[in-house]
Amino acid sequence: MTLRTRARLVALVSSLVFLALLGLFLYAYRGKLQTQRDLALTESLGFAITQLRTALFGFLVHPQAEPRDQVRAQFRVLTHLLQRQAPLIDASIRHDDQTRFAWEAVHRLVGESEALFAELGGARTDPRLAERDARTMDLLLVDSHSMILFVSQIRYRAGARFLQASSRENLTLGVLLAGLAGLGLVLFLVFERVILEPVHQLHQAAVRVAGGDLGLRLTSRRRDEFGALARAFDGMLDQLQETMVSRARLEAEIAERVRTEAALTASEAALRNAQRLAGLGSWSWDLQTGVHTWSDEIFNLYGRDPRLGPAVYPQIREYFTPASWERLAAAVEWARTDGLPYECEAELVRPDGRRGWVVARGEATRDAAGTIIRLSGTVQEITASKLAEQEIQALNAELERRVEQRTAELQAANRELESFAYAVSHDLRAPLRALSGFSQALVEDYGGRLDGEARSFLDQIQSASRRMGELIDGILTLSRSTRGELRRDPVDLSALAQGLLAQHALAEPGRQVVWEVAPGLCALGNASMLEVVMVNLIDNAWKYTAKTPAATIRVYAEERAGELWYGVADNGAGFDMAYRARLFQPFQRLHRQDEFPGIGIGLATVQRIIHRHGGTIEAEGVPGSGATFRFTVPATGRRPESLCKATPS
Amino acid sequence: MTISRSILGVLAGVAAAALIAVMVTAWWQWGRAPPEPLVLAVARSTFGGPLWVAQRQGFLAAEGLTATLRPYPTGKLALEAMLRGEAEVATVAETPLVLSSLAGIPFSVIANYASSTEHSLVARADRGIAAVTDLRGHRVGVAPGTSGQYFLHVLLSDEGLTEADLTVVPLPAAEQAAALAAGQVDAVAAFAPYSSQCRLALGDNARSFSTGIRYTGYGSLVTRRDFPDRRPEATLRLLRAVNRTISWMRTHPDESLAVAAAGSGTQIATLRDGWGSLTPNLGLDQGFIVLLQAEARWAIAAQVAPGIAPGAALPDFRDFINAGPLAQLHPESVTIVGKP
Repeated sequence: MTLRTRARLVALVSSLVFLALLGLFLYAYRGKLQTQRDLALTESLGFAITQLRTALFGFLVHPQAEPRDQVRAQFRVLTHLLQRQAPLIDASIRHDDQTRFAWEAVHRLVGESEALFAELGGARTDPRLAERDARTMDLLLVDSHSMILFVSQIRYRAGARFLQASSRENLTLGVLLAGLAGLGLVLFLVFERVILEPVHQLHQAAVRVAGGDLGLRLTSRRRDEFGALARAFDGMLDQLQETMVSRARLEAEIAERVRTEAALTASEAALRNAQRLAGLGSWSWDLQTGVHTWSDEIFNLYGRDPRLGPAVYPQIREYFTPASWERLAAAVEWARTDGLPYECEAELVRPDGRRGWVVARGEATRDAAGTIIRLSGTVQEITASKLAEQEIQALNAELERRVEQRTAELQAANRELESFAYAVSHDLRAPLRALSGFSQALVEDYGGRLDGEARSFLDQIQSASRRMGELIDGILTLSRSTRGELRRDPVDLSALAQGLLAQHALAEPGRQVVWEVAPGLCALGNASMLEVVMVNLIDNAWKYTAKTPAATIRVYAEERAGELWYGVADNGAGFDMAYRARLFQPFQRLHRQDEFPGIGIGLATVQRIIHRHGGTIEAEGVPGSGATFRFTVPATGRRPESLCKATPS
Repeated sequence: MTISRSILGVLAGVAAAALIAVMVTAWWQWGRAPPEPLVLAVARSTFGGPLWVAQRQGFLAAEGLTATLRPYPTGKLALEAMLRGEAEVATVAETPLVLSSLAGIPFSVIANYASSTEHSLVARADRGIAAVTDLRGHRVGVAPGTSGQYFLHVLLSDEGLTEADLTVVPLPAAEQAAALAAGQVDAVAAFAPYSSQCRLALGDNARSFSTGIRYTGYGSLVTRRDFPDRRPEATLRLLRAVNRTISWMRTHPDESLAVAAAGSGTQIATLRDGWGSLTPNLGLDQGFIVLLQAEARWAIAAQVAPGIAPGAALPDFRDFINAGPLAQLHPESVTIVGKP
């Protein structure tokens, strides 16, 4: 509701209330006036009746003509008064039975009295009517008495009504005054609530806004003018706050831009510096305007005077050798037409004749429609690295040549060595056989004639011959062990071990050896070579546990640092780790021959084979507690066990 | 939820209304004194009418009276019944009171409640009675000791006659119409409904004569002398009830006539003649005293009753009036000169 409507409503209600109260008061006041008139009427009526009674007494005392006329005149006065005042008193008696009765009684008594008075005096002519006259006088006395009393009743009731009307008038006046005071209070309260309070709130809000509180909002729900004013105020604050925020944002943007420009300047300087140091220049080519932009370093790289500005596209060919330009131009054309980025090494020919190498890179930029609008890229000097590369290539070629040469020499030496070893072994075997054969023949043919010492010498010769034969076999084995092509085939080490151990057990049924072979041990390598490895290691384990009561041999595999290690462990004689290095040297033994016979060529052979496969072997032992040999056979990316499963040996 | 709340609200409202009704009823009942029994001897005459109206319209009960109305043919008989103790209050005209006071019988008038000019003399025209003066030498019946007797005196004396100029035949009110019709008497001085019965009995042969304003009888409420002091509350309630009855009668004249006839067991036709001359008004005024004195002078002079000593002094009728209760209710209605 708007203030105007509310004000009209308040005015209307106030007026109605005031008019109602005023109407009540006027009604009460009118009632009081009416009762005042009634009182005045009864006063005059009472006065007239008293006059009548006085005249009547005068006549009764002196029944003569003049007093009679006075009575009659007074009757007329009284009758006239009653007739004249009848309409006035009618309003009073309308609702008052007693007053009406009294009024009608007075009216009736006046008439009756006048009639009685007219009948008076008959006894003067007829003495028999004396009693009648006496009774008439009694009636006149009583009637006049009654008239006075009835008028008194009227006056009494009029007085009562006057008091009531006065009280009512006072009450309504009080109500009127109280109503006016109440209306004033209500109007003040309404004024305060509807106008003063919102004005105060607006004032407070304005003061707070002036103090900088732009976040303040009145958010009034009123639907009057103050509500509209509050909403306009809030809208103004919204605009003001938005303006302030925009201004702050603008200031921040300006500051940021200044910082960015400074950083850009510094960055450009750094870039120039970096480009200069790196021999790297940048360029761009606006395909729509045809404008070329070069960084300083490009001018430097091309040996072009910066004052000339960037060279346009076709002219730039003069800075390259024809071969380089042909490749570079093709790459640039692809970038222009297909948007393909390119990186192209090209040889420069500078105006002063200096040559150099650069790597030119470029890429295309498209607009929103996908049209290629710009090419940009870099040109980096690579002359130094190009020269170094050429030099490295030359060195590599020399190195390869020398390696090939040395390899050939080595292969020749190896072949020679193998031939020598074979020859030695083969050639030595003939005299050895002779030596052994003749000593055998000597024993057989002349054994009876030889004394004990001679026989002992012959036995030692035979023994030495056998040993020498073994040594020659060992050398031959060693020399042959790594011969041939290294093919990598899946080899089932578990099956090998099981077979070897079973053979040993069959050969020496008296031995109580417990062995444990992990299943599925598989390696990729030369099958015969790896068999030699397993034969040597199993033989050693079997041999060095000969004196161990509860001999145990374990063949297993384990993974260490991502590498698969195969192991053969026993609890036999073991060895002193201090002599570990001698283990793998040919013909080196850590045990006496009579203790554990052998020539000391097995482990050397094993090491060579493992090394040939690119693997590693190691030994671990404790004297009296056993030894463990572990080796690796690099599988070149494939898990050997899976291959074994696929192709079980 | 809403329905149950509204039901609860309605129930609470009904309960509150019932509680208020009970409290108001209790207050109303407790604020009222218990009803008082009252036996009234009421004449079947016009003067008895207002009491019958009061009873039939419930004004007596409304003021807390359990009233029993006993009808009597005339006020004189009602007064005698009251004095015998058959009733506590009697309605009666002034003449029996005057005669009783002269006989030294104590009583108290507590109020006049009506005045009437309805008395009339009904004469047989065939007996040559065309005017009051024609009564000379004729037989006129009248109920002795009633207001009819004094009315006859006023009627005669106003015309210069006396009771000696004719033959006054004592005739109970209830027998008057029959006696007149039978020609046992030539005229009857009576009041309604007996005067009306006489007119009806004679038909066109009837001639009526009235004193008009020259004789106005008063109907009074009379008790034993100790009654107002012994039963003050009943006295006040009776006066209040009669006052309410009078107010109602002033505004309902026709209805009140029917009610009075029904209450007294009288035909409306016989009561109607006097009803228009009846002026109900509760009061005790000096005119009543004047009338009593006039009638007492007549009674002494005419030796109307056997017990009246010749030349006896007039009694002070104010001793026979107890204006206290009425003055307590309506002081403006008590206008007797002298003793309050």
